[in-house]
Amino acid sequence: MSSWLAILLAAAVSASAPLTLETELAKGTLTVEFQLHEPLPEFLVEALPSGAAVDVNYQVRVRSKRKVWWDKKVWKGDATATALFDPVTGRFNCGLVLDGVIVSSREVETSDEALAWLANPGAVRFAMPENLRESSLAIRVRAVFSSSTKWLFFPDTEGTVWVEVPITSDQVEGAEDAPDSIED
Amino acid sequence: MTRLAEAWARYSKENRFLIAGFVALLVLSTGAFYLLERTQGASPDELTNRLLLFILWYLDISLILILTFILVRNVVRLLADRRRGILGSRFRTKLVLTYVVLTFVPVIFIFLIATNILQRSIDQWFSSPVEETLRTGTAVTVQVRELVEQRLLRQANTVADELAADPRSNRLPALRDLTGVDLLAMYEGPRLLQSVSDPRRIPTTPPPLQWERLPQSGVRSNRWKGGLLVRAWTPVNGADTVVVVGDMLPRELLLDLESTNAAHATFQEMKLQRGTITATTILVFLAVTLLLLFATVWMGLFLSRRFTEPLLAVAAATQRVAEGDQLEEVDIPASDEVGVLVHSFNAMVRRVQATRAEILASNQEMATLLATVPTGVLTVDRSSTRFRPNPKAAQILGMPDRAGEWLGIDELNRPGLEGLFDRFGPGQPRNGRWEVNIELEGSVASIEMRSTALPGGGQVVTLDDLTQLLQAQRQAAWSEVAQRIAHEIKNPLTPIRLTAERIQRRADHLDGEMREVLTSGCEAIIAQVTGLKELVDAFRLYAQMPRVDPRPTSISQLVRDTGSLYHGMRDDLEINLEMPSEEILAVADPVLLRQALVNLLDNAVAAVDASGSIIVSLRTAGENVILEVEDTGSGLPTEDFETLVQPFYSTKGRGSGMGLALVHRIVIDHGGTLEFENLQSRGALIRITLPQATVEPFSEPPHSDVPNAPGNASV
Repeated sequence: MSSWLAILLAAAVSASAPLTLETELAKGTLTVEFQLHEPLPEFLVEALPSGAAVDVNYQVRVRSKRKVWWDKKVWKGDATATALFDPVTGRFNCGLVLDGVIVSSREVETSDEALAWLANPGAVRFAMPENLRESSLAIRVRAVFSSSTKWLFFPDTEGTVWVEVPITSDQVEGAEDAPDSIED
Repeated sequence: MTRLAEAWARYSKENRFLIAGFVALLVLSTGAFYLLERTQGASPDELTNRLLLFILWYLDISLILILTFILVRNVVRLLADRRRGILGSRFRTKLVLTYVVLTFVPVIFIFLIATNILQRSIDQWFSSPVEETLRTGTAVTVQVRELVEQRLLRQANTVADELAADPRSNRLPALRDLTGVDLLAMYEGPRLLQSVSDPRRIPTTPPPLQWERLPQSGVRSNRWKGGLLVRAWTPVNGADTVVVVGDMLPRELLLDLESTNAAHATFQEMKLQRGTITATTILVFLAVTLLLLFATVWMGLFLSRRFTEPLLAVAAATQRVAEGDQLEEVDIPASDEVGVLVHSFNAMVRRVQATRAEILASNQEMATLLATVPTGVLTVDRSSTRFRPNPKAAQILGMPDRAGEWLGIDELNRPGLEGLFDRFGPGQPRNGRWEVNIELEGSVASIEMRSTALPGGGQVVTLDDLTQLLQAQRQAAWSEVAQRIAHEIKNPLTPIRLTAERIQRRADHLDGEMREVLTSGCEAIIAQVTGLKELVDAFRLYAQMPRVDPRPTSISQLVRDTGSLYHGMRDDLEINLEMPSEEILAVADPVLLRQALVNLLDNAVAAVDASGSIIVSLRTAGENVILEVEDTGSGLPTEDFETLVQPFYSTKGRGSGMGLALVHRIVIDHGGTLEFENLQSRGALIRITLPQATVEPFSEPPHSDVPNAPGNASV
């Protein structure tokens, strides 16, 4: 009965979560696969066929959970899924940029495929620092669609809320298991 | 601690700038740190935009703070100056406020308009027509490519049909010529069987197609050799053999299409950064506006100080003059019209100072003249309510201590001065000559009064004391009378006396009653003749008063000698001499002065008919010698000075009545004054005031055989 209740609860949370994660930590490498459930903003969808570079930036933060003090920042990185339409060839060039380095790319035929790539660019592998207490780690991720300024100066972003899931060494699960949405 | 405070006070200005710089650096560092924290992972373009925004924002904030600080500081300083009443603060406040308003209103107005125009411009940049035009350009690119692809697909089908009907391999060149394509090839699986192409368009073998990822029939465009290679394929008769046809779009066309596409892509990317562009534009314009305001305000404040400093210096100098300070030149560098004003002011100051010095010298000369002139001068103000006497006038008016002071005209409204006071009443002419009598302290003085109106109002009145002149005239007249009387009377006296004496001698020979009658008659005649002779001698003495022979004389010795003559004259009469121990000297004629003192003592002795005393006192008062004879007699019959000094006036029933007249004449000839006073107790006081004059000390005091009397001597 309790397992059914947990499945129902996870399904309910998953339906409302804008982003789900699949993480795996093994041999100092954190593998994360993002799945964006929230539809991309209209300005991105409209900009894609024009040939403008469209990207979704996945901000990744790894924290060490602590009981008394606030969580300790362990690591952070960015993964950016890009899509660029080439009207001359009629195809979309998609890429995944990890901390400024292109780690994967592909060419898709349709805008739906390009948008799907932006929502799910595939698994990303991050090299984690050594000597981590793997039992208390958690990963926080949010997708950023655009950045702008507020009051003419202060940086502002448009994106999803932060989604946090715990990391275990043999864990292969998404936000359905233990989602935790935090407004940042 | 004190040293630190002194050092801080000494370098406070520099320290303020250091603190301001430190705070600015701190704010800048904090902002940069915050920005870097927020922009980690951002693209270089985004980072550049953020940095640019931050720098602009920081510049704007700094300018706003600096501008606010300058304005607030100056306004507070001006308000404080205004509250303290510092000269020029009101003018500077108005100037600065006017300048700030005149600067701020148009600049802010222009900023608002320009910002609005810029925003409208940005809106127009991203407006639908522009976007539609660019989108259409991209659509054209797509349509061109699709047209080529569709044509090639049809030609591939045609070639496939031809090859299906006649599968000879040597037909490919003919079919390529027939279809007009640039490339015609046959594949069996991934293996190329045969290929023909236009070497001008496709010089080398094109890259192979990824057959494993491609459908059985289709079209694909690839960039190759700077152009676009469009290839279409279709199977031949459903077998493994695939025919491929292709065209190479020229490089020029591709560049044009790509240029159009790039413009659309750039437009869309800029549209995504529209907020940043707007913010950057507004911040840049705001920075320019603030810089302009800062420059204009600073320049306005600087110019207001520079312009007003000379004016305020001139105004302060005039205010100092108005408050009674010395008129001095303004040492402020100035140019243009302000410089002309300053130079003119300084020239005026120099001229005024020169004129003032001349006036001062003239005034001093005039004051000296007025102080020394023997004529009394009254300066009356234009309202005839105040007057200022010179020393002589003050002496005439009986107020010697108030010479040179402005006095109310009512000071003249007192008994004895009515004749003078009435001349200043309303309706009285300002120009004229009058003779008035004033009576002060019992003596009447005849004053000739001349009034002259001043051009600027007011009047100058001269007072000439004619008393002595009139007295001299009277004396001259009396001398003439006395001389005539003496001449007319003296001549018959001797024959009368000789005749009376001869009759008396003849009568000695008679007897009886006749002898007694003649003898007594002759004696009476002789006595009367003797009296008449004495009278004539007195007349002659009065008429032929010898000229005064002034020489240094010991008045003390003269008084002692004369007083000793009356010692023991009467038992019931006491004569006291009161003199200081010091010798009192004066330039006087001792013979005449002794005569005067004798006359006074004679009168005093005659006045004291019963027991009494006579006090002769001698003292100095300022530059005068005062000799007083006081008795306890019956007193003066009158205090009328003119009557008392009139010749032939006598109440004694004997004597010539020339005593006081002679005394008066001697005193007048010595330049002194004579005063009479009835004492309240009993008796009279006669005072002789003589100028002491400068007397060289005697080498040997005259009458040195007479010892100096003590302070109070009784003889």
